[in-house]
Amino acid sequence: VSEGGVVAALLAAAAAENAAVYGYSVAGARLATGQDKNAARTAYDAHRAQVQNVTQWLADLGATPAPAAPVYRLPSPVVDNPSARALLAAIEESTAAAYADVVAVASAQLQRDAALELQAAAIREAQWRTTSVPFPGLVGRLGA
Amino acid sequence: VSEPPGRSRPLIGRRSVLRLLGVAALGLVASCRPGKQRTAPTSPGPATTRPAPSPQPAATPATPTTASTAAASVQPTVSPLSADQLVAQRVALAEQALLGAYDAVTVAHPELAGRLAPFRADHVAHLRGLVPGATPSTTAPSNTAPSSSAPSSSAPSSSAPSSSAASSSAPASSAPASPPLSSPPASTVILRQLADLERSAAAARLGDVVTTSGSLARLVASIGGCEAAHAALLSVAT
Repeated sequence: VSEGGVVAALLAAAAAENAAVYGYSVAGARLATGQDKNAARTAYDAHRAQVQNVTQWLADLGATPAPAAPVYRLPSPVVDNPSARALLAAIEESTAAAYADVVAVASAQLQRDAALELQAAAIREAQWRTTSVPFPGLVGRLGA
Repeated sequence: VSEPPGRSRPLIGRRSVLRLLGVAALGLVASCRPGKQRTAPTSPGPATTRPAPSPQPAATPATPTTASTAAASVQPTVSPLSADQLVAQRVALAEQALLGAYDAVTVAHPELAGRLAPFRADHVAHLRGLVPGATPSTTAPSNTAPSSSAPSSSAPSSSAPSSSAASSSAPASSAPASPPLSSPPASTVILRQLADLERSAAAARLGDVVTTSGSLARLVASIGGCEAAHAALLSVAT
């Protein structure tokens, strides 16, 4: 397992976390209930914290992530509550996928930490979907 | 989805669920060793344990990519498996045990079957992802207990390993005393217990992940994510 592989996976995780922060800032306002908006705020804070954590992991390896972009292209327009939930579920799935890639190449504590972040993303993904997927972070990648 | 008030059904308590898990695990351990190398000592398990249907032996390793040595001591009596296969088998055992818990709950609470089916299906997918060709060894209850029959709350069929545990509770048909207002309905208790099991499983996957790498590590981490999500959904459902 090369350190370069770990750095590349962490750079992708940082990008996914920055995109997630942006996505929550867009979708949060379209959510219907106060409960969902609170959940979105909590998730937004969690992703912002993860940007910092991943940045630190990269710094430990002598690397620096790209800064967040001002705007990200959304996979689908967010116009109402259902489309907002769909976007947030997709964001969490791509976040989980990024951490799955870290898990594949990292070891020891970093590998465990990445697996825990995958779980956190999977929990949020299921809450936006209101159902679970069997392989969060691998959706569309298993058997494909 | 609420039960009639005042009706006390026999609960499957934590202890009996855990016992069922033990039975399910023993059954799988006994049945998943390759036949020719079977050096298993006579099982000290409960006399009521029925041999589970043999899953097909894993013909191909889940991911023959790495050779970490961390798991080498898991099953010392089985020599020809790779380290990754051992990890995959260990996680598969855990998935089988969770399936057993869902099956046991469904026997005792058929009214929860529909709600729990998606959770169970995820664990079946996990099992097949870990051990290609595996068929989940259904524990006796799910085979023998017809959920379509009268929703009687009498003990599950006598062949079920859970019978001693589940039937020790008072039958629900006897005049039930009104439970204290503070006691939650049985289904709530059951869902909480399943949530606890899923949460523990997710935590265990974190330990499994660090014993492997590559695509198997990715798979095990994803399974842990699913279990964490199950725990959250089951907690919300109560």
